[in-house]
Amino acid sequence: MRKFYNNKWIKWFFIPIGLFLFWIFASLTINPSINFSTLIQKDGKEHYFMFNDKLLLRNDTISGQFKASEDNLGIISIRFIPQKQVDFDDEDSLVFRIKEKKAKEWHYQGTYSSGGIFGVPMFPFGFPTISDSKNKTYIFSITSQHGTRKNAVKLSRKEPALISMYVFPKNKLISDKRLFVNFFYKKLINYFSNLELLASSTVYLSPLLFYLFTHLLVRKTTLGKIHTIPIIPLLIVLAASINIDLILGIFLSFIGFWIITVILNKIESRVSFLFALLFFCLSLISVILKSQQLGSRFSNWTFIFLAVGTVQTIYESQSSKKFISYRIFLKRVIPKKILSKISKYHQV
Amino acid sequence: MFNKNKYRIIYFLTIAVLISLPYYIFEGKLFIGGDDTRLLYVYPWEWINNIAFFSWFHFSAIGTNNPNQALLPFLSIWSILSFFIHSKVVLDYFSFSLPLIIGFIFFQKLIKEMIEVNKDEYRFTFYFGSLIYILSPIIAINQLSIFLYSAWLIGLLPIITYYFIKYLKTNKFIFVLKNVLWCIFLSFALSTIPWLLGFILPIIIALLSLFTLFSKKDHLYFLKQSTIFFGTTILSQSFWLLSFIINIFSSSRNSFIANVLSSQTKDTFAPTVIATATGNIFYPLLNLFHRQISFDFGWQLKNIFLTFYDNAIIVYTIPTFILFIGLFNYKEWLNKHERKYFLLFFTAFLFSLFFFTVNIGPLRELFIVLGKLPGFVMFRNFYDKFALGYIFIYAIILSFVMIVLVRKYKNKTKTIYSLIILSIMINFIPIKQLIVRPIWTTNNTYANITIPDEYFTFIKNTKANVPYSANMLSLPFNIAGYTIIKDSKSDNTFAGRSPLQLFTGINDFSGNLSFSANDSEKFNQHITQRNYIDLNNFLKARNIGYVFITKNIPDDIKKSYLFDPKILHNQDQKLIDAITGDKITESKNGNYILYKTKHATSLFYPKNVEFKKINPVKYHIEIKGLTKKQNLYFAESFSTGWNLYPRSYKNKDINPLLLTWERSIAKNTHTSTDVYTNKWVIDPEKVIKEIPSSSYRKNPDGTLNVSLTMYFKPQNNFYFGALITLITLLFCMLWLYIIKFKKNEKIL
Repeated sequence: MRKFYNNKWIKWFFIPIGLFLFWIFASLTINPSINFSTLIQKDGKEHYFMFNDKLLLRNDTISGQFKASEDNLGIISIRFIPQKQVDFDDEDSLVFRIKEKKAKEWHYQGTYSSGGIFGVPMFPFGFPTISDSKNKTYIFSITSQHGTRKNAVKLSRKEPALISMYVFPKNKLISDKRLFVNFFYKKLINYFSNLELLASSTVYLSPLLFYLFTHLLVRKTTLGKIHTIPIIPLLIVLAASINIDLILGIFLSFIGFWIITVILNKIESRVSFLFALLFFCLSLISVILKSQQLGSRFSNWTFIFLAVGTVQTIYESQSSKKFISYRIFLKRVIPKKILSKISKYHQV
Repeated sequence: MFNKNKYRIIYFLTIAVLISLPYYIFEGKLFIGGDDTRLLYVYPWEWINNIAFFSWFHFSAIGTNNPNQALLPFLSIWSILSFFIHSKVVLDYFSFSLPLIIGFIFFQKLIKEMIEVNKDEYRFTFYFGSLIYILSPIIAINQLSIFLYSAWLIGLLPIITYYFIKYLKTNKFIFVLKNVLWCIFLSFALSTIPWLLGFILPIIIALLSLFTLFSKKDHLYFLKQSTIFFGTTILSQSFWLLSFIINIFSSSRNSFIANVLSSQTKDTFAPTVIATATGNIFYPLLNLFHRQISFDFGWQLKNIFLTFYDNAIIVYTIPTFILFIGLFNYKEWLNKHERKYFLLFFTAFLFSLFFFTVNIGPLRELFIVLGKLPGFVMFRNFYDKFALGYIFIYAIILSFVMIVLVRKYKNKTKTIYSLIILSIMINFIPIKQLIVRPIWTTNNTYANITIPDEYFTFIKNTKANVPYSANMLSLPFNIAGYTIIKDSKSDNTFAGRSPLQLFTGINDFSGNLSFSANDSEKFNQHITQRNYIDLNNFLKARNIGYVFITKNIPDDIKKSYLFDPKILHNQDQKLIDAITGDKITESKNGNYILYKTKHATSLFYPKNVEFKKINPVKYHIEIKGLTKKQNLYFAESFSTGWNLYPRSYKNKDINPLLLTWERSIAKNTHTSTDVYTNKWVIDPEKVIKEIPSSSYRKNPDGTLNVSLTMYFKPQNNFYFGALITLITLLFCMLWLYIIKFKKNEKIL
């Protein structure tokens, strides 16, 4: 097995390529927000006849039109502003209608409870799939039945305001190879041109990142050595300040990198606690500087480092191994000049 | 630092301060209102008589199968106390202080038990640890300000943990018995299961995480001791727990637990979590409640953050920095056993912190997934349910790290204690504002009041004029099921579950939560559409024969969340004229008026049914002149627990326990006409065949008179449960006696 693994082709080509393909495959097939057989098209606020972000009160209607980019139109997702939750009995009922522009009658009409909109970034209104929708213009409308100031929904100004979804029948995709290749190509472009979907796919990218991190950075360079360990918390700070640290893949990657670093360097739990303290201090500074949001992000990492440190502590209590203590860690990490100044201060 | 005598003086002074604390906070007025009303502390005997003893529960609401007997031991002792303490205010305030005092005493005992060496050296550390616990702003906002039954867990959690550890260490059964006695006394606190689990869940997960730290022998010993300790405790709670468990598995529509675990509750788990998981771990680490939630929902706490906490944030970081210093040093300064305790509680602390916060990046989704576990929906208000457990565990951890600090920096003990005193004192400063807050969405209306004599006189007249079996409608009708009683001298008001049932035994419907969701919608519709014909029929079907009108509700309350403006607007003279008949009585200042409804009502019908209400779970019925099959209607919410039994004309009554084995009659015909009414079909032919001849009489005209007892059978679960509790107690005492006897034998 080891011989097989030590083969350069296996180690540096097949495994990374395999993990890369896993990322692509898993991103396209295992996505909770969008099915594999669905293509999406984003549209902006200009597609509403009269866009307004006021509350949709009783008998108010919002409507708009869009041109379908594909066949099999089956869902329209509309972005609402997240509202405060109301009791089940107090929820509004929304009537959704859709038809082709030229058609006299509505293709579909359905009633939806406003409670479903709560906590969902874009609310999907589904209807029977229109198999020949490509290049046709469709009109939709949403009417409130019991909207009050307490329970009414309102449109969000955030773009994209509207997403149309095209649900391709799976059996057709399997039987028609040409259609499948065409669909797959469009799906790839569809997926990787969408930042939100791409961010959610980072969770499947993390095995590749772990692999490269362990084999390329930690073992082959000096990056995995003790004095470079603070790079990980530094990257977290950077990610937190640009609001990407909590994207699942990135979040798990950071935790994974830290765990790998801890294992490879045999550093003790108190080093993790040290970084927990560091993030707590950053959180405190952010709060004092009136940046609650950043403070909140840093405090998440306080928790993560406390949790990792606790797992380490449990392991250390049963292990006879020697670990690098946080004092030695500090000696190696902090420049000697600063360290001597600190020790002088302590002597005083 | 101080000698033992000085410590004792400070210890008792602290208890004196805790006793006086409510006098400072509530300024001589009663601290009552809310969902639990807290009136049980002021009127314990009335509570036993009209509410706590029975499994069929009315409290300004439709009847439900909701066993409330967990309150009985406490109320019995409190009733005795009320015999000696006549002042309602003193009684009320003592109930507020007592959980804090118990928490203060037992928390110190608990920490002392976990420390292995030189215990006396650290008595001030234990002392400060207990103050961090009971005076935590999280406890003040989450427990003391609303003071639900769960507030008593402040005292009970340290008690159970202390006796369990003591039993684990000594294997002396006396500690099991002591725990059992405390748990029986405070069983109503144990019945607040979500809050209790809010402590137990993190501890269990932590124990499982540390499984590998202990030997197989340790595991077996722990399992054995836990089974004895908790098994005995659970058995001793049978007097309410048996009914509670049966209630969970009951398929009955009007079971309280079934409502709590309904699919509607399950459906709202994820949305509720998403809406409220907006905080972060920063503030809980400072021993403060979540800041963001108070801003999102416009709580009064928001103002305290803006005016006080935000400005003193540096001082609030003292416990957190102490925690980190402890984390860096505990390995060197705690011995082997102490380290294990520390590690256990620290692991539990992290789980508790997660459950209390939830919003820790993608981990929030994990909590939402946990919502799929059966029963986990009870934690949808995680920031409430896990708060008490969190602060209890945090205080234990802080006590340990204080010991680490005191051991490490022996010469700087005074500085350490000064910092801790500073952080405790600063917690104490806004305590009055935290607890005495204006009623939600009002500007300046507070809930602590003196109930006016006018109300009591009126209630007395009401009791004299209204039959025990009737229901009332309280107007103005609000969204909660609350009654508003205005203080005689200020605009402060009692806003809580209507106390009419407590004072008179007569149930009233005072708000939307008094009815089922469907009924509530119907009621609102009738009022909004001024559909008085249907409204009168609605009242009649629910045996609402009287209307209680309160006229002095302050405008601030009328504009608050308690009233739906549309519904309130239509509750005018036009409505009163449409639904009321004769005026029965009016209070001295005209603030309370009682009317009959337009149509006469009866709990049982048709007219040939005569009845007598013995108590809320038992009625004597006589059906007169029965000629052919006839329906018997009982205008109470439907439950399969209601059963009909033959009652002999010769004997006065039958022992309810005997009814357990007796076959009820017409059981197969028991149905509901709508959500509310119970219906049976009484067939004279079957009556003659199935019931003893002593229970019916043939009239000269050939018709039949039948004598029946209607009984709510789940009440017997309480009696059987109480028997198990009694046997458990007797067994514990017997076991102790045997152990003592064996010991004496060995000595001889």
